Amino acid sequence: MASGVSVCIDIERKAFGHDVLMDGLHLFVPESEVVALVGPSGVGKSTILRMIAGLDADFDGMLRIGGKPQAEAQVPGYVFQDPRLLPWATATENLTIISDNIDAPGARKLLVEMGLAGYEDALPGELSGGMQRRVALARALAVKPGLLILDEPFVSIDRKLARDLSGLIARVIRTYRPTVILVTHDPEDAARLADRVVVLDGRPVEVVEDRRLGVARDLRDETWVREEAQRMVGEE
Amino acid sequence: MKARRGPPSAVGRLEWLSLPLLILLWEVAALVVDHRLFPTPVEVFREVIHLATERRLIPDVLKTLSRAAAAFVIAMALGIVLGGLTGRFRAIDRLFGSWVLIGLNIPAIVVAITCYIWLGLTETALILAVVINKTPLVTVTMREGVRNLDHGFNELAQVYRIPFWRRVRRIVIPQLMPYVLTAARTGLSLIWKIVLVFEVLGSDGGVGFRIGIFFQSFDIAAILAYTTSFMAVVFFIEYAIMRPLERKVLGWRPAFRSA
Repeated sequence: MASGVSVCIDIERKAFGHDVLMDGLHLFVPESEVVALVGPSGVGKSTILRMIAGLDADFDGMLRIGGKPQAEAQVPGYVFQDPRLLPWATATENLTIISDNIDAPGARKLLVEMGLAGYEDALPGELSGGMQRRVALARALAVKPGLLILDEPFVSIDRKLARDLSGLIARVIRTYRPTVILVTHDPEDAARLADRVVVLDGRPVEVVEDRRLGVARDLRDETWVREEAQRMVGEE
Repeated sequence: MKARRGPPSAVGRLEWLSLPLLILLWEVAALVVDHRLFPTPVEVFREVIHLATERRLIPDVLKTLSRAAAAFVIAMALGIVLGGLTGRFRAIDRLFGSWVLIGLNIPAIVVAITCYIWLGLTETALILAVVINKTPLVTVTMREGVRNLDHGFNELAQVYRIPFWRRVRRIVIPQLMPYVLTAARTGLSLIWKIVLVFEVLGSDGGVGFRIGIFFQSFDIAAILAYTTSFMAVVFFIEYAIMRPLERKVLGWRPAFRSA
């Protein structure tokens, strides 16, 4: 796994027709930092992720990942809001199809690491929602990413599954040390996982709060997470 | 959770009852009508044996099959390409949309007669006429398939920069296979019918040609013998080719997993 890469976001202007979404948005994420972007729905959090991933190139400005322009940078690991697994391919194939960096034994090992032992040859339709999310996370890791993009990874799953997945993501961060940009609408998720929280709001969007979380991730307990989440809600 | 429509073994048994039930109904109807123009299945089966031993039936069936196969392959290939282009590029769809509409609705007999007049009563004319009739249907089916490609998977391929041919092979084709198989299945049923009609109109052999001759003498047993033989071929294609192929390429779909 590559170590984390820096991400430099300099967006001068991003508009949908006459609707100006961004007008001067600047954000720097150093190597191996976990940044949570929080803010109300429709503020443009997912749009920023799509721009970083190369899915939306229709903007004025510059994006550099690991010091390189987006198109030349290493492929990021992207966990979409929905698992987006190929339903005709097994869990293992879902990993090997997307990357030359991993072979079938490597993919199986990664799936076992994600807690999917015994399900390596299962089709997505045979897996539960939580398992599908784990496969999607394994797929993102299969490209050995320096940058891991998590777009609402806990949306549409129940609290228990979300907590399990959150624990798994924390383990991934600890083990592989990628740079992570996490978009979430739940401040508790941000408080649980992030080193730094960036609160976005307004139209055009602006950074209303950019704060490092003081306590190391492994030392955060649920009381601290709830209190920190409450503070974020107050800031939003 | 897997969707199940009922116990698979019971469904399977019902399917095997289907054909015997039809033959039984035919037998009963023939016995009730009791007329020389409505032979029983047994009489038709005897006629099949008779025609086969005369060495006419099998060459005729093979001739029709070869024509249908040629027309099928050409129409599928053309339809897949045209459907892909019209589904992917709006400009091409707009430009050729009327052609497809005409192709879908022009009477088959008109196409056949025109081809026979222009090209003579030749094998080429017959196959071309079938291809012209069948291709628009494949085109429309494939166009829908391309239009329904999941944009999310396209984004997935884009983010992970999956090479073009791998994207086509592992992401696009599996999504199109249900449409290809639908086009193939409806195409086969249409092509049998058209080929036979065109063979009646003008050809030097084949099931349709022979049925045309039997029609002149009202030899209903022979007509049904040829039809039955041809149906046997259709059943063979359905159970030996189409269904295993469907299970292989669509086995991931819930409906197939629970069947």
